[in-house]
Parts: sequence; C-alpha cells; structure tokens
Amino acid sequence: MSLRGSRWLIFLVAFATLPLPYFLPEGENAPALRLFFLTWLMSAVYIAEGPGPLAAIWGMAIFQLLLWTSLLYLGASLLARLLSTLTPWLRGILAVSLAGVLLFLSLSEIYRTPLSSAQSRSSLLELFE
Amino acid sequence: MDPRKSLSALALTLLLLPGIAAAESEEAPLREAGQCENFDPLRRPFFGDLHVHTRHSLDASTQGTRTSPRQAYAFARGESLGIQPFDRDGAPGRFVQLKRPLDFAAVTDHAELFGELATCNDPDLPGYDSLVCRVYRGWPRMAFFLMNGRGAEPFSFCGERGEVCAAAARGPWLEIQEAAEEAQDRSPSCRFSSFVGYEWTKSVESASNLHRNVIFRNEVVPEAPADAIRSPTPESLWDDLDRDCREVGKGCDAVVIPHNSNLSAGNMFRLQRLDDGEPYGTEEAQRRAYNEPLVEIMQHKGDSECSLDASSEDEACGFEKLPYDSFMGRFFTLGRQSPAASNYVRHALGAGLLARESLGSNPLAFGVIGSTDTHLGTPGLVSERGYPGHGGAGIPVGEKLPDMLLDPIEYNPGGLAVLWAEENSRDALFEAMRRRETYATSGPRITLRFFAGYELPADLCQSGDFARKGYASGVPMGGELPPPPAPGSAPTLAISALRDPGLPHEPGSLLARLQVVKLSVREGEVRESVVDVAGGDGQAGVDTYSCRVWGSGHDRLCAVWTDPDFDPDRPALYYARVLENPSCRWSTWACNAQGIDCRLPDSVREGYEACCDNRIPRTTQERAWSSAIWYTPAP
Repeated sequence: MSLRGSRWLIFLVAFATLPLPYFLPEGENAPALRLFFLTWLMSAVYIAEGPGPLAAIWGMAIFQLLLWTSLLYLGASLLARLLSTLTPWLRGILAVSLAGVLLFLSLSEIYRTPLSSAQSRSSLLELFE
Repeated sequence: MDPRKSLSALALTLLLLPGIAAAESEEAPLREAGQCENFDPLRRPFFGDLHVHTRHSLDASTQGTRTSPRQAYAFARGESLGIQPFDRDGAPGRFVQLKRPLDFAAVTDHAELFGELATCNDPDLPGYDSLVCRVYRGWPRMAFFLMNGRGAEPFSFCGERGEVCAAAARGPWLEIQEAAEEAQDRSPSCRFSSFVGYEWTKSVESASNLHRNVIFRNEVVPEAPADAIRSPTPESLWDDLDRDCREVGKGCDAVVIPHNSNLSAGNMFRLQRLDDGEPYGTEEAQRRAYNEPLVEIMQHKGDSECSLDASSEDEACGFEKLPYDSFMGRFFTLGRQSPAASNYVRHALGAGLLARESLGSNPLAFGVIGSTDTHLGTPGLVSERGYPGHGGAGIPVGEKLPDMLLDPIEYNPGGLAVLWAEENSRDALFEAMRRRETYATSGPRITLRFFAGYELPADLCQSGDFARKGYASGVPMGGELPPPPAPGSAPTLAISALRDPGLPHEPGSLLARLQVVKLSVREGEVRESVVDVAGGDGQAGVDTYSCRVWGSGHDRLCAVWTDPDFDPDRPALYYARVLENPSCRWSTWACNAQGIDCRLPDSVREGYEACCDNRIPRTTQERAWSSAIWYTPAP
C-alpha cells in the first residue's frame, strides 16, 4: 500500500470510528463522522430558516468539526510516516489491520450519544439515529 | 302593588341573589355551603400537582413522552400509565401508577410551540413535510435544541407572521381544555378537580428562567394562551390576562405561578419591568401581587426556599440544591455560577417587606406550593423509590431504557401543592390559591396547619378544635395579621403538623421537628431567624445500604409560640416548616437497586459514577413549607 493510501485509510477509518469528545450543546463521545452529520443537519436547518439565537452553537459545531478533522488528519499522517520505513506490503497489512480493529470495536455500543433519539449509547451502525 | 312589578322585583332579587351571596362569602371567613357532599366549613387539605407536561411540550415529546392530557388526568385519578421507552409497535416498556390518587391537577404544557408541534405531528397540516418537521420526527433530540432556541421569529412553515402555526395551535389548546373538562368530577362526591393551564416559557440571558404557570379558575379561558412570544414580559402577560380573560366578564380568572427561581440567575424576583428596566411603582407592585399570589417553591429541578451560603445559619437550607443558577449551567459546567441568595423565595419574601416600605404595597407577598414539573405526564409521581426520571431536561429515553441513572443526580422527584379548601371544587380550590391558604411539600402528604393571632389559646394543641379556634381568633397561612389590639401584644403562632399516614404496608416517615422562620425589617435590612418550636428531640437516621430507617420521631407535632422579639413598628412575616426524619434519596434507591456499593470500586458501573459522588447526599429530609402570615405596622 502506498504512503498516501495508508494515510487516507487510517484517516477515514479514524474519522468514522474513533470516539472523540465534543459539545453540541450536550456532550457526546462519538466519531467525527457523527459530528459531521449533526453539523450538516444543523446547517441545513439554518440555511433554510436562518440560525437565529443559536448561531453560536452552530459556530461551535463547525469549529469542533474543523479542529477534530485537522487533528485526525495530522495523526493519520504521523502514523503513516511511522509506517513508511516498512515495506508497502507490511505497511498495508498494518494499516488494514488497524482499520479492521477499529471497525470491529465500533460495532459495539461504545459511543456516548445523548443527542441520539433512540438511545444514549450507540454503535457505528446507530450513529445516524 | 302592580303584580307585574312584584314579579319583576322577585325575578330581579332571584337574579341578584347569587351575586349577593358571593359578595357576602368573600367577606366571611368560612363559607356556609358548597356544591359537594363532603363540604367542610373548617376546610381540608387537598393534595395536587399544578405543573404537568405532556406530549404537547417540545421538551417532553423530544424525549419520548407520548402521554396525552387525558392520560395525564387519568393518571392523577389513579389509573395506570405506560411510559417510554416504546417499542416499534408502540408498546410501552414501563408502567407507573399512583398509590394514592391526587385531589386535583393541572396540565401546564409549554404554550410557545403548540402550533409547531401539532404541525410536525399531523400529516394533514401544511408544513408537515418541512425540513424542521422532518428533523423533529427523525432526530428529536437535535430538534429540541434547534426549535427551543428559535426565539420569537416564526419558522418559515408557520407563515410570515406565524399565522399558520397559530391556527394549528388551536388543536392542542382545545384538547387540553376538553381533557380538563372530562376529568372534572361534577358529581356530588367531588373526587377530582382539574384546571386548564399552560406554561409561559420565557428565559433571559444565559437561559435564566422566568417561567410561570398560568392556572385558570374554570373552563372559561382565552381563545389562545398568552405565550412568551405574544406576551414577552411578565407585565405584558398580566395585561393580556386582564384583556383576554378577566375583562371579558364571563367568569374567567387566572393566577400566575412562577417557578424555579433557583434557575433564574437572580432575575425572577427583580422589581423592575423586563422590557425597559424601569423600577416598579406602586401600581406594578399591586399588579404583581394580584396576578402572582403563589410561587412554586419545590419541584424536580430543585428546591427554591433558601440559600445555602456562608452567611446562612439555617442548616435545613441544604436541601435539594442545584449547583448552578441557570439552565445554561446544566450543560456548560465550566461557566457555572452558584446560585446567589436573590434566587430564593426567602430572600424574595424579605425583599417584599422592604419594597412595601418604599412602594406602599408588597409585590412579593406570595404563598407557596410545590409540584412536580413532570415531563412524563405523571402528576404526583413523587415517590423517591422507583423514581422513573422526569423526562424533560433530564436523561432522554428513546427506544431503549439507558443503563444509567434516569435523571441528572441533582434533580429529584418533585413536590406537591396543598390547598386548604372547604370542598374539592374548582371554585373552592381557586379561592384557596387567591387567599394563599396553601402549602408545599417535597412529596409526602404531611398535613400542616398554621394560624397566627393575638388571642389564640395557649392550650390550642391540646384542644380538639384547633381549626375552629384558629379561624375564630386568628388568621390562617397566607393571611395578614391585624394591628395588635393593645400595646405590648405580640402575635401567637399555632402550628400543627401530622405525618403522612402513607399506606398500611408503607407508612410515611415520622416527623422530626417543627420550625418557625421569621423575617423582619430592622434599620432597612431584613433579619432572619429560624426557631425550633417542637420536636428536634429524637435521634433518627437511615442505613443507606438497605434504606432501613431507625430512631424516634413524631406522628404529630404541634406548638403554640409567641414571638418574644415582636416589635409592632417593624414589618415581619412568619412561615412554618416541618421536617421528616431522614430517608433514602431517590438516587440511593436507584444505585442500591443496581448493586452499586461505593466501598467496592468494581461495582460502580459506567453510567452510575454519580452514585458515589460525595457532593450528593445519599439521604433526604422530606418536608413541608407553609405560606407565610404577614404583619404590617399601621401607617
């Protein structure tokens, strides 16, 4: 696997599975993917209706999304660089294994999602509820 | 005499008779007859809940509540109710039922989004397919924040001036009225009274709470509630109640009951207009006192009696206190402010004494009630044991019961409103609210009587006619003492408290102590004293691991106490407080049920960490607070 490939694989899987703390306006501990989804949902309403008094929360959501996305990309780049000394085959094995472990773990209800409509703990498959 | 004139005179007399009788009954301390077979001229305590939310409140419906106003009233009357979580087929996962039905209740849904919720829930209404409504149905928790923080500007699906949602709001408002009408027991047995009501939901900066419940006297109510969008200040709310209710002249009347002053960041009892900040004049002081004769001192989101700060010597103030002073503090722990004394009822009662000196009228001369503020549509569900959470600003329950404490640990099951009335009819109960002959409990059905006068017999507690002599020689809670009959006279207070009898297999707790809280004005400052007048002589406690109580206490506490420091030249007020022996708090019951043992770290599962938070008491000391009796020196 190429260096770029391993970096993007690690970044995307971490974006989708790594539990991160954010506040919106209740605190959740869930992947950036859920933060992205909630920010998109809020943005859609605000574009249609105007943000009103909650513009600050919208701003906070975008700020946190940008912050976590940047940090995840930075982390993925650093990890990929660490793997760069390995052969492409071994690098691929390690990157895919890491992604597999994260995906496997994310199928359990490891995320704290009080903003969810169905339950306050969620798995990856329930992140959009 | 012309027979036609005689007949006309007779007809006129018959027409006027009820009015004359009503006028006389306002003068007389006790009414002679009523519409119920259990009429008692010496009045009885009726227990109820005047703060109840159902599915028509945004914060209830977005946390899974499906209870209708009809179901809420049926629950208050003793029927079983299914509550969330609901499965895919709509079957409830939990059932709750009162062990003792209530005597009265009022459904008080947030009036501000009646139309929006109706629109989002009814496919036949225009706007059902709007983006906001789709978010409401698909992601209700997000919708709660998006819709609740909207402010006065209507959503686009509501029309330019909100006329579409205003029309849709008629549906829930009519449903609330019909549910109250159906629940009202109009038979001679008078088992249950319902009140039409709603919550006026105004917050100011940092989400500090100015919320008030509006309770109507009877079925004659305005066409639309004066919500916080139409009537954005307390003063405009009173104006609108005058215009749309009292001045219509069909028997409409209402009282406004503020609640959660503990979450108002000091704003609830400010004596200035909300719109322009102008200080109250005499007229506004009188209007506030008339419109707001009561305040809710206790509910799910904490006790609002008195401040527990360094200056306080009243240890009993450390009861069900929230650690923040506005709703924002619930979510933003970093910016939390501890509640100042000005958030509390006792401080406001003192401020009212001072205001009377400058304004000539006391704007804060209110009585007290308790209620639940349930967002599950479960009025009167106040038991600490098995508390299912309150379903509002608490822990959301969607399709599955979360494995955690079902409310933020600082919340509690709420209290009850108690009204002393001759019978369980709307008129009699409403008159009790008007004359402030009311008290609050933190849940138990303690009976608390309180009179003050200059000639109350010293042996009143031993006599068999406490109430008759109390009314004959004094004024009841909520009343005003007349001037002393002679120089050197001091008021005597007579207070009687009976423990909650509970049920045969589940008796109420014994009483621990009876106290008088006195506020008086001296040299422009409010002085406060708390005196134990009965009890306080036993040792009692509770084993928090088994919740077994131990020790001694009292079935009845009674005292006749004369104020040794009474000064007829200084304004004062007195109220009574009775405390039960300690018992397990709801969180202790819940933590024990989950096998949490703070001595064994492995037993403390995720979601139950708060069980072992040392800042949260494991026991509670349930109580009742009377409305005050005021004394004002002659000018």
